[in-house]
Amino acid sequence: MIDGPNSLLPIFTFDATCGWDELLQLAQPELDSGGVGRLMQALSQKTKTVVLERHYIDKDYRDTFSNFHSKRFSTPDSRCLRLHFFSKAATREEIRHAENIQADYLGYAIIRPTRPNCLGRTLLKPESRRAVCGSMRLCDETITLQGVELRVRGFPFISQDADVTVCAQSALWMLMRYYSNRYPLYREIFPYQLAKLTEDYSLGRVYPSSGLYVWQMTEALRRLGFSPVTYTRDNFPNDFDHLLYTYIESGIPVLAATKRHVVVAFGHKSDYVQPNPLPNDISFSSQFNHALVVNDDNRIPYQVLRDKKQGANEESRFEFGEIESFVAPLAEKIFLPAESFQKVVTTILDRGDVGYKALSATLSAGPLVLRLFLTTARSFKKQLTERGMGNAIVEQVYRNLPLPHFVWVCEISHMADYLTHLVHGEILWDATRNASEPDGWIALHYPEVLVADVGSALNQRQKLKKYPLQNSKTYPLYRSNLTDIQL
Amino acid sequence: MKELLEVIPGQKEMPLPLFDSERDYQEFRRSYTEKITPELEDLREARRQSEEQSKKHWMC
Repeated sequence: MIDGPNSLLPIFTFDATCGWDELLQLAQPELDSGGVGRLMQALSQKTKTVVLERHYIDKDYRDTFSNFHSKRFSTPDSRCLRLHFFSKAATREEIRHAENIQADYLGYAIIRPTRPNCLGRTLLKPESRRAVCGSMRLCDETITLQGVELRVRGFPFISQDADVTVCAQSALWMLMRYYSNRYPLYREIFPYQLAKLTEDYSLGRVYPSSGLYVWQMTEALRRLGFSPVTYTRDNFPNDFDHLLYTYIESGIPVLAATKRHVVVAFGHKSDYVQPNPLPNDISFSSQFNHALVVNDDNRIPYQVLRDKKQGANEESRFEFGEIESFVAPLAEKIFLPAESFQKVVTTILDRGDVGYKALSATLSAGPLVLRLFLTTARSFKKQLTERGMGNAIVEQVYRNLPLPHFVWVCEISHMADYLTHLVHGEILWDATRNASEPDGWIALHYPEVLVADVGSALNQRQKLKKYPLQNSKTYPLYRSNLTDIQL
Repeated sequence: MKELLEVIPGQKEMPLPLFDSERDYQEFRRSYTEKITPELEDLREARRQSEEQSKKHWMC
C-alpha cells in the first residue's frame, strides 16, 4: 500500500501488491536497481514500512555536489531522497508521534542521484539485519522526520560515488563519522574535505580519485587529530589477527586493508567454547574470535568477515587471511600500543618476584586466559560497584586512586571461569607510559594480593604497595567498550 | 603535597611496600628493563616496517 504516492512524503507499506520493485518505481529517479538490490538484501527481513522523504538536502552529498558534480556539463540533481525504515506498518498519523514509532525505527538511507552507486549516508540499527549479531562499537544519531525526533544507534555507512570517493575515502568517512557522532572532540568531516586532506601528499590529481595508499589514509587520520598505528601481516605474522581483535575489543574501529580494498572493522563475533586441547600456561581471549563485523562500501552495512568464508548471505567476500594490514586510529594520549602492553603483561606475569606463580596459588592452579583492552578510567570506574572487583579493598583502591585518562587492562581468568565471563584479577597499566619503564604500573590484582602504585597516582616517585586480600571471589569481566547485539 | 594521602580513608592496616628494601626495588627495575627492552625494540622495528610497507599498499 502506498499512502500519498505523489506527495513529498509517500508512505510505502509492504504487502501483496507492494514489494521492492514497486518501491524502486516510487523512489525514482534517485534509486536504481543496484541500490534497491542492496537495500533489499540488508532490510527485507525486518522492514514493513518505508517512508520516502523527497527533496532531502544531504550535507555529505551537497559537499561533493558543490565541489565536484556541479562542475560537470550535465549536472545531477543537488537534492536527495531519504528513506526511513520501520519494522512495523506505520500510518501517516502514527509517524507524527515519536513514541508511536521509535521502537520500530530501523534507521535511514540517503539515496543520491549518483551512478553507479546511489547509496549515500546510511545509519541502520544492527538489529535491522536479522542474521548479524556480535559485539560492536556503535554511535548514536538523532534525526528529525517532519519535526519528529527519532534516535538511531548503529555504525555509519556510505558507498563510494566513484568520483570524489572510492573505497579509501568511503572507509575514512565511515570511521570519521563514527568519531564525530560519538565524541565532540572530533569534527564532522565531509567527503570532499576528506579527499582534499591528502592533497599535500599526493602525486597527481586528488579527484576524480583513483584511490589512496594506506599511508595516505594514516596521514589523513593524523591530520584529523589521531595518533594512528599501522600493522601488516607480514611484519606481525603470529599476532596480526590477535592485535586487530585487541583494538576492536578496546572499542577502536580500525581500517582493515586487503590486497586492493579497505573496510572498517568495528565489531567481533566470538564463540566462548572450551578449546580442545586446552592451551598451555597463558592464552588470550582472541582465541574465541571467529569473525569481525565490518562495513564494506561496496556491499551493505554489517558484513560478517569470518576466519574462513562459508558463503552465507550476510558474509563479507573476504576472510581473515586476506587482511594484509590495518590502521588503528588511537587517541592522541594513547602512547603505548597493544603489542607493547602485551609484552609488559607477559613479562610481569612471568617474573619470579611479582608473577602469578610467585604470588597467587589460585591463579597457579591452571592455565590462564588473558583479555587485553584499552578503556578510559572514567568508564572503568563507573562499573566498579556493579562488578565488585572480587574484593572490597580492590574496589575502594581503584575508586580512590587518581588514574590516567586511558588505561590498558589485562583481565586474568581461568578457562572455565572465562567461558562464563568471570575473572580473577587484572593488571592496569598507564597507556601514556613508555613500555620500557616499569613506572607504568598502576595495579596488579591477583586473588590473594593487590599491588598498586600509590606514588605515580599522585605524580610522585613510584611507590608499589601491597594490600593482602582475603576471601576474594570471581567477578564479571568488564563490558562497556562494545555493545552486544543478539539475534 | 609531599605526604602520601590515604588511599582508603580510615584504613586500620596500612599497605606494605612490595619490596623489602630499596636494593630489591632497584633490582626489579633493572631486570625488568633489561628483559623487556630488546623485545620492545623488535616490536618497534616491526611497526616501522609496517609503516614502510603501507607506502606501497594501494586502495582503490
